[in-house]
Amino acid sequence: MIIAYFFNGLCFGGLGLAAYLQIRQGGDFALKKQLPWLASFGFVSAVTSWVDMFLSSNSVDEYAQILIFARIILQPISGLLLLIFGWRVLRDLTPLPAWTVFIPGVMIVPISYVIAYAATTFITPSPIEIPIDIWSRYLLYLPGSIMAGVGFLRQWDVQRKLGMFDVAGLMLGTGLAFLFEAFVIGLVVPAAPYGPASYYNYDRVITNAFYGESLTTANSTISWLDYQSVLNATGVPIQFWRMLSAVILTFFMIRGLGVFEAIRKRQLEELQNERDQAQRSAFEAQIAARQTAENWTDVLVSINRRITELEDMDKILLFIVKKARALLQSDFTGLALFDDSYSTLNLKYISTENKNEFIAEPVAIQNELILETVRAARPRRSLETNALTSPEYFDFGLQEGIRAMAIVPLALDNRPVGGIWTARCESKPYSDTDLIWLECMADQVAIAIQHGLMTSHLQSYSIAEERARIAREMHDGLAQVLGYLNIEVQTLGALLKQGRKEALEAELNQMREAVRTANADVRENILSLRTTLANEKGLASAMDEYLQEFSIQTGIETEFRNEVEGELNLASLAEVQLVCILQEALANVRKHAKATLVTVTISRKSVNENESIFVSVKDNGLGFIERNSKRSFGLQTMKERAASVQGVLQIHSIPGEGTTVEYSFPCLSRGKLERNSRSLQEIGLQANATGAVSR
Amino acid sequence: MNVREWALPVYTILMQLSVGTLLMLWIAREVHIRQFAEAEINRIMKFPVTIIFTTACLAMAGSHFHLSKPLHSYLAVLNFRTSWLSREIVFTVFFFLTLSSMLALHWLQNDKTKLKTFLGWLAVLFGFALVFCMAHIYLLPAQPAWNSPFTVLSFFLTMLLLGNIALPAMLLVDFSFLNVLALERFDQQYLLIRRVLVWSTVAGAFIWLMAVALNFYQAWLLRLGDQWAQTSFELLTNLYRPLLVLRLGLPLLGIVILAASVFSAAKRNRAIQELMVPIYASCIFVIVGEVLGRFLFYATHIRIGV
Repeated sequence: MIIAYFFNGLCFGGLGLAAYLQIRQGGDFALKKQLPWLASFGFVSAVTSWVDMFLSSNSVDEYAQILIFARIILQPISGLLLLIFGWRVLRDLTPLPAWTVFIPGVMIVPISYVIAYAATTFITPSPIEIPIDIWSRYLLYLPGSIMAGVGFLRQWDVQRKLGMFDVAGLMLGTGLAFLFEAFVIGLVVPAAPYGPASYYNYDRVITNAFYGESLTTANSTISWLDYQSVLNATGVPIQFWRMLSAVILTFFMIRGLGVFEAIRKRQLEELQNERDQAQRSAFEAQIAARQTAENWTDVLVSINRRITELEDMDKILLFIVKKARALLQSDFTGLALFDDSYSTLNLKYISTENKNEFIAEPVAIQNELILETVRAARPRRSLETNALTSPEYFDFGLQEGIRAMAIVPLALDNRPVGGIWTARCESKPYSDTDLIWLECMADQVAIAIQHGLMTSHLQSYSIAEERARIAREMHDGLAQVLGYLNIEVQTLGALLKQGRKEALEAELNQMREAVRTANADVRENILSLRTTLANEKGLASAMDEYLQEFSIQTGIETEFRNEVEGELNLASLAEVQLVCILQEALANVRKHAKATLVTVTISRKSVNENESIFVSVKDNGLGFIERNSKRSFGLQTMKERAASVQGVLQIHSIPGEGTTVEYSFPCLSRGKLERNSRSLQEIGLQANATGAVSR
Repeated sequence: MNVREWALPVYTILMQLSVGTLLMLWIAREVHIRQFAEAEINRIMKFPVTIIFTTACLAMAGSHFHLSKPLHSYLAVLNFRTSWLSREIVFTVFFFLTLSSMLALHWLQNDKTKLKTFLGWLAVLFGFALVFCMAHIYLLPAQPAWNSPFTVLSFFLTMLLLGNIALPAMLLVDFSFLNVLALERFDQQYLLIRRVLVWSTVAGAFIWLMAVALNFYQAWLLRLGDQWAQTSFELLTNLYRPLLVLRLGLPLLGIVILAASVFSAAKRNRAIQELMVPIYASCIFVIVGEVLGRFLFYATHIRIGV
């Protein structure tokens, strides 16, 4: 008996220690919150068992009362801890179905009767420790063990359905161990003259269930769930069965704790894998977004370059339409512009998988969605997946109905001029980000159109200005010479009639000089007219060739110093003015300076992060004193030319030491292009990172 | 007391619980019937009526355990004119049938509110008659401890106290279930439960005070009575003193817990679902106290003569 109590206490102590160590170890698994109750139950039960051991040994009689009192206190506490543990296991380990909320309410009346009945048994003559022992078992151990057992059995069912049969086996073992404990610890009690340990025999007859023998007895109560009955039925005392129960329970619980830890680790690994996967996906999405933004940026830069290089507007717009379709993964992209009366929207450029072309014959847009969007001047993307069939698509090779569309209106100076739209045959709606990119393309279209119009105006202006300049040159040069020659011819006739040979020769020499000068002027004008900016080798190369030609024609030595690496990155208008000023300066050198050497230097300078192209034209001629006279009219023109493109022109001249004309133009292209490029990349990344941009 | 004798406290207490709860439920219904929608009030009543019916069934089943021949119990009604027991059985049957009709009506008909109201009050009336007859059974000249009109009064006080404390628990169980399912918001039911909680606290304290005063008065009468009555008094104050303390203390504890939880809920604005444990506990304490009171009622009587 002592051994049974000892091992019983040892098992419960081991159970409490295992639970305590598991608490110390930490972790976050389903049973963790219940472990303190289990540990407490294990320790208190161990102490209770060892108190029983000392009491049964009869060796500590002087302390018997203290031990009995300790047992009276410890046993209900142990039972209460088990009850709490069982309730929490049942409630928290596996979520309970909704209907179980009724159980506490329904149990109020039975529990009340049992408690009341238990209270009445305390007035029987038996020692107080007996009803405390009995009712600790009936009211605390029994429901606590049953609830814990049911809780673990439900977890067994859960694990079995998850396919984790090893865990399920342990849960089954633990659940059955608790139910076994419910019987041997909760239901079998010391002998007592009240139920359910014994029952009232109204018939005063005892019937042996095995042999059928009946005995008449005067005793009205019959014990059936006490220790003696268990001994009679099994041949071993209840303490043995309780020890066995404690061993089994401790074994399964300790194994089960390890399993819960293993489950937690497995869950952590799965979570880690999921997180890694999510990180990889996010990283890939980020790379894809960056790639998309780079693609768009490249296209936008390319469009800008074509615009600045004065490429044909039709080619630029067709390029935009083609790239928009490719980047937006569309089946069709179209660009339509209003006619001159702003009454009809005509399809001008299309791009499909098979063709990219300019529509020479106007095709009026009938699609209401496009027309409404352009009129409303608000971008739109279709969300519905119904096919938006329209004849315009079938005419250009699309065999399927359009199921997704994004439309952006075009505007110049807040006035609608047309629209660009892109469409897909598959049911994959365009995102807000796609719409933003299409708006960027629409902006490029507007810029290209505006730039084309401006270039056209500029060309007209340049032609008019050049005609005026030629007229002025002819008036100042050739016409003057011809007038002079006319007078000289009349003079020669008079001298010839008078027979003044010497005077005649002198006049002839003057005429020869005048003709030579006129010839130089004409040649220079021809050179100027012949010099174009459309040199394939660039502006600097064109300037170099011009200087060489100038040197051959005038006999003035020229030197060209190009200190600029790469492109000049000047606006096209600035390039025109740069050449015009150079021609004007060289003409002045030839006419007035009597110089033998002209040095032209071109360089790049930075002031406050603003780059400029700096040109210097320096001669070693007579020089002059600048004054406000008719002669300085050409110098004033040069300054005005420079000012028209935000440039600055200065003239430095010292009589006898030559003249230097210096002018600088701001480099607009590179800075603007880089800024545009950066902002576009940022927009692209941001839009792709958030997934959608609210409009 | 053995198992057969325990059948009496089971029957009497459960039947008083049924009648008392139905009375309190129908008072609450009467107060709110004009404030709530008809469908809503009928829905709220459905679960408590079902529980009351179930309790009555348990009470009737339990009553048969103290009969030697339960199958012959129907013969008891033959002595209606002369026997309080026969009258108790008849009114038990009437109460049960009226309650059954009302339950069927609640589950099968969403309207018929007036008929439900009528049947409810009729059931309450039969319940009152039942409790009255139940108490009158014990008014026997041979039983000095019982033979007093205060026995009738104490039975009615028990009925009121049990009904008063059980109603909030019943309403709360139903409300918690609906919230677990998260079907929809039940603002009106929430309001009803909050009011019932406050009323139950106040009424519970008042009824308990009356019951305690009555218990002491009955004990005092026993002490002043003949030798049999004094013997009952001796039993009550000596052998059964711990139970007497529990009988008076536990209902008080239950009402204090209920009051504290209601006050705490009002002060901290807690959801009433959080009050389930204290309300169940208070309900258990009151029922245990009343069951012990009934136990003492049976255990302390001394019969004069054979």
